[in-house]
Amino acid sequence: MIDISKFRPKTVYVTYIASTPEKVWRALTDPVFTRQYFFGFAVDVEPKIGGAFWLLAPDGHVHVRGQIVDWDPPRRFISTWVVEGMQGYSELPECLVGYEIEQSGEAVRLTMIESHSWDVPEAILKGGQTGWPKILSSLKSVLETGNPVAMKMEGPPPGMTEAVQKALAEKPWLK
Amino acid sequence: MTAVSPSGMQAHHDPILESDPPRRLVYSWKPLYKDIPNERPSRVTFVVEASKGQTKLTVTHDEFEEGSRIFGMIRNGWPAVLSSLKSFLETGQGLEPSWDDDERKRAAQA
Repeated sequence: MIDISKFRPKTVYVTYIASTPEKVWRALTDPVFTRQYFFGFAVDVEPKIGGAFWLLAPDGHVHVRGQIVDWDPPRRFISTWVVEGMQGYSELPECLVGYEIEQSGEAVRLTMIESHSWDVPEAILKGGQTGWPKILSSLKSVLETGNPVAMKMEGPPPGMTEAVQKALAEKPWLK
Repeated sequence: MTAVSPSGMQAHHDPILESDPPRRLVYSWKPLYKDIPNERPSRVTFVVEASKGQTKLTVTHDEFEEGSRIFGMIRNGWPAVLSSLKSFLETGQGLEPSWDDDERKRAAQA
């Protein structure tokens, strides 16, 4: 099991949803549900600490592979992420994606935390920062209205591919 | 721009710096609550972009005083406000999260 104390939060999003912690939990971990709001991707898990985590592309390919490092329904869920679906990305150090679910008045406060173990450049963080607001906005809409916000996944933002190539060449995480 | 708190107190009375409906709104931001530190006004920018029947709203709150105490007091407010705005537009019902409770809990943990 990896040492999560080496990871630092780099991107954090908070959204409040008119729902229950149990429904938000299901929305984050159920493959059929996730397809509705996650650009057609499905989250699938072996529901236990140490279990496998997959994010499957609409065509069934493994886009992200990981391992569950915290599993506490319906409150906290953290897994490692290794992006396999994009050339070269799988050689970057794994990151952590965690969700925290808290009751807040009559709403649920959902916090998404993307953490990294190295000094990851802004241009690489930008990739997640382009996608997460869309995913979380659509998740909130599905839970509140039954309808997702139809949004397309964009390719890597400008500069990201170059930043990944540079990082793979220099491997700053080994220093 | 004026804002009135639920208890009827005037919370804001700020000049609008830019207004270009329905795309861009910028105003100066200085809370008038009694217990809040006296700092120079910060700035709030709303950018509204439409694409294929959806709207992307970007809010930037910047130009805080160096070492601002107000920033720490209000930084967790926007996610709750913007979440409630989205709910209101999509369902007709805003949210009533108890962010005061959340903030108290977080302050106690800190």
